[in-house]
Amino acid sequence: MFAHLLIGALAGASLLLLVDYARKKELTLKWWHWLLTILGIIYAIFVLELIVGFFSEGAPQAALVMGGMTGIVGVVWGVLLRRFVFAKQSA
Amino acid sequence: MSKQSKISRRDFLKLSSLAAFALPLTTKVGQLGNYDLIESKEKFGGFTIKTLKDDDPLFEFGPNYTRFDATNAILSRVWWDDEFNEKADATETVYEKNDPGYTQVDKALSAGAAYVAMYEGTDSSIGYLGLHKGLMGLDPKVNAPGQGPSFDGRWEHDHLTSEEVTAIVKKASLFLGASMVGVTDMNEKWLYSHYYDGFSQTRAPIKVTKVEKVELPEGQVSPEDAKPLIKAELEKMDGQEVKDLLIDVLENIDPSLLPSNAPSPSFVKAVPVSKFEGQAGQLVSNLPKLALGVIAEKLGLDIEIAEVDPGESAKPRYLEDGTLAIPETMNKVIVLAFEEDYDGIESAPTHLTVAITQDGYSKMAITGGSLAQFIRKLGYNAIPCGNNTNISVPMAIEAGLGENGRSGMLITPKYGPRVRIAKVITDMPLENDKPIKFGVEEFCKSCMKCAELCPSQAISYEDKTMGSANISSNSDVLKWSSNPEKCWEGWVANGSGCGICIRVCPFNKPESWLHDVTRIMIGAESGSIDSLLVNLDDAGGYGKKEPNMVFWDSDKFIHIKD
Ligand code: SF4
Ligand code: SF4
Repeated sequence: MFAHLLIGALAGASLLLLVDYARKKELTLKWWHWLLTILGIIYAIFVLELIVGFFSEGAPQAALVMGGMTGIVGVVWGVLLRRFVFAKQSA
Repeated sequence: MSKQSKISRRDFLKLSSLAAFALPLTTKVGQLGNYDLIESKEKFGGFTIKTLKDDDPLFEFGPNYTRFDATNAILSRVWWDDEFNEKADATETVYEKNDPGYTQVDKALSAGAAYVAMYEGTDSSIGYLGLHKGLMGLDPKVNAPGQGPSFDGRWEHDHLTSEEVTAIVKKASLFLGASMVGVTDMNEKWLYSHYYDGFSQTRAPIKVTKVEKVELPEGQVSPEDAKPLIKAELEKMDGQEVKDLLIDVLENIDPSLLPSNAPSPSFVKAVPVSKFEGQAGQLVSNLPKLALGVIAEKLGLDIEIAEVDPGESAKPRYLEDGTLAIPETMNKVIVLAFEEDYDGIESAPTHLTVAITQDGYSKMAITGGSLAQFIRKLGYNAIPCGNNTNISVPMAIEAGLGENGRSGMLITPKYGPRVRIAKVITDMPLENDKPIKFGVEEFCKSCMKCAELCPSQAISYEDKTMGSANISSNSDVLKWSSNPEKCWEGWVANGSGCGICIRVCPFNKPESWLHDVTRIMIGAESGSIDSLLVNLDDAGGYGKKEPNMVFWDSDKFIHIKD
C-alpha cells in the first residue's frame, strides 16, 4: 500500500516539477508535447508498479529482469523528451 | 538436452519494444478462422480463448484404440505388480526426515489435508481407481431426516431453458467448492474398461447398460408417449385451429409453467396462419410436460401424463459379479476442477506438496459427493467420480476446462496445471460446454521445462505419438506420452510425491495483472514469440530446479514470522 502511495506521490511531484520547469524556462510547449510527457509519466508508473508487483509476488528476479527491460524503454523515452521537447527550446 | 535459458540481446530488444506496446493490447471478440473467440477474465484468467466448433476433431485415435483398463494404471499396479514394486522400492530415498518440507509438521499437514479424502474408503474412488465408496458412493448414506436417498420426484424445470438449468447446476458446483466447472457428453472412449480396487482386490468391468422401459398403469402415459398422441390430434386441425388453440393455452396457463423463452399470446396472434400449417411435430417436440397436459385436456384426450419412476435399470449400480453398470441414460458428465494452493505447489517436490495434493483430493470428495447429492435430490441419478471410472484429463478438455500439456496434465487458463479434477456422471439434461484453445499446444512445442526439470525424466521431449511408454499409459490416441513407471519411481526415491512438473510450468502463475500481458501474448495458436516467453520465464527466476519454500512464511492465511 505504502509503495503505491509513494509511486503516486512521485508521479504527481514529477509532473508539477515539469510544469514549473517549463514556466521558469518560458518554454512554449504544444499539446502533443504535454501528451508525450504525461504518457511518459504513466509509463514510469507502470514500470514502478511492475517492479513492486513482482517483489510482492515473491519474485525478485522477475522484478529485476522485467523492471530492467521495461525500464530501458522508459529511460529512452525520458532521454528523447529531454532532447526534443524540453532541452531543444531551452537552448 | 537442456536448452540455454538466457535471454539473447535480440530477445531482449524484441521484448523491450513489446513491453512498450503490449499494455494497450486488448483481446478480440468475434470470429477467427474456424473458431469463436471469446474472453472472460473471470473464467479464463486473461487469455484469449477460442472455442472449437462441433466438427473440429479434439483427439486423434488409432484403429486399435481400446478403452484403458484401470488395473494397469500406476496407482493400481502398486497394489498387485510385485515385480514393478520391487524395482521401485530399490530406488534410494533421497531426502532426510528434517529437510524443509519433510518435517513432522509438513507430514502432519498432509495427514490433515487427506482426512476427508480417506474418509470411509473414499480414497478408493478419489486417489485410486477402484470402487465408489464413502462420500463418493453410488447411494447417499445420510442420517439426517430429509437428506436420505428418498425419491422426491423430478424437479419440474420445464419453465427454464436448458441453458438456465445448466447455469443452476454450475452455480451449485462453484458454491459447493469447485474452482471451475464444465459439462460434456459421456464419451465411452474415456471410460475405463475395468476398475481395480486395491483395498478389496476386486477387478471388474465398467459397462454402459440398457434401460428397460417402465410400464405405466392403464390410462397413464409418460410425456414422451403423450407427444405422438397430441401430434396426431394437431395434424387433424388446420392452421387457424392450431393458432387459436395455442393462443388459448398461452392466455390461460400459469406463465411460471412455461419456458422463459415461450412466446407471448400477442406475439402468436401476430404470426400469419400459414406458419401453423404442418408444424404440429415441431410444436409438440418443444412443449414442456405441463403444457402438454393442458393441451391434451383442451384436445379432449383422455390421458393422464404421469411422472415415471424410471426403475432399477436406470440407476447406477454394482451387479452381482462386481460390474459397475452405468445406465445409457447417464450420458452427461459434469467436470469439476479445484485450484491447488500456489505457495504450496512452490514447495514441490517436498512432502508439503503432498499436503496440497491431498487437500485437492479432499475437496474433490466434498464437492463431488455434495454435487451428486444435490442432483439426486432433484430427482436425477448421479455418480461422483474422483480419479476412478473415467479418465479425467480428456473429459476435462472436452468440457472446455483447458488443453492437454506436454506433461500429460490438464492446463487450465486461470491456474495452469495447478488443479485436481473430479467428475459427476448424470442423466440430468444439461448443455455442453465447448472445448477451448488458448495456445498451450503451440507453447508446449517450444517449452520443455517440465521435461527438463523432471527428476525422473518421465516426460517426453518428442512430438506427440500414438505409442505408450508401458502398460500404464494408453496407446492409439495421439498425445505427449509420459512414463508413469519412471514418475512413480521418482516419488518413491523422494519419499513423498513430486509435482515439479506443475510448479515449473509457465502456465502456473498467480492471478495478477503482471501476467495478463504474457497471457494475451501467448494468444491462441500464434506461437511466434513462445520461445522468447519461455526464456523470459527462466530469466524471471520462475520454475527453478529447487523448491521455493514460501508456504509457511508467506502472509497468505496468517502471518507467522516477523
Ligand atoms: S511428478 Fe515429478 S517425477 Fe512425475 S512427471 Fe512430474 S516432475 Fe516427473
Ligand atoms: S512446462 Fe512447458 S512444456 Fe511442460 S506442460 Fe508446461 S508449458 Fe507445456
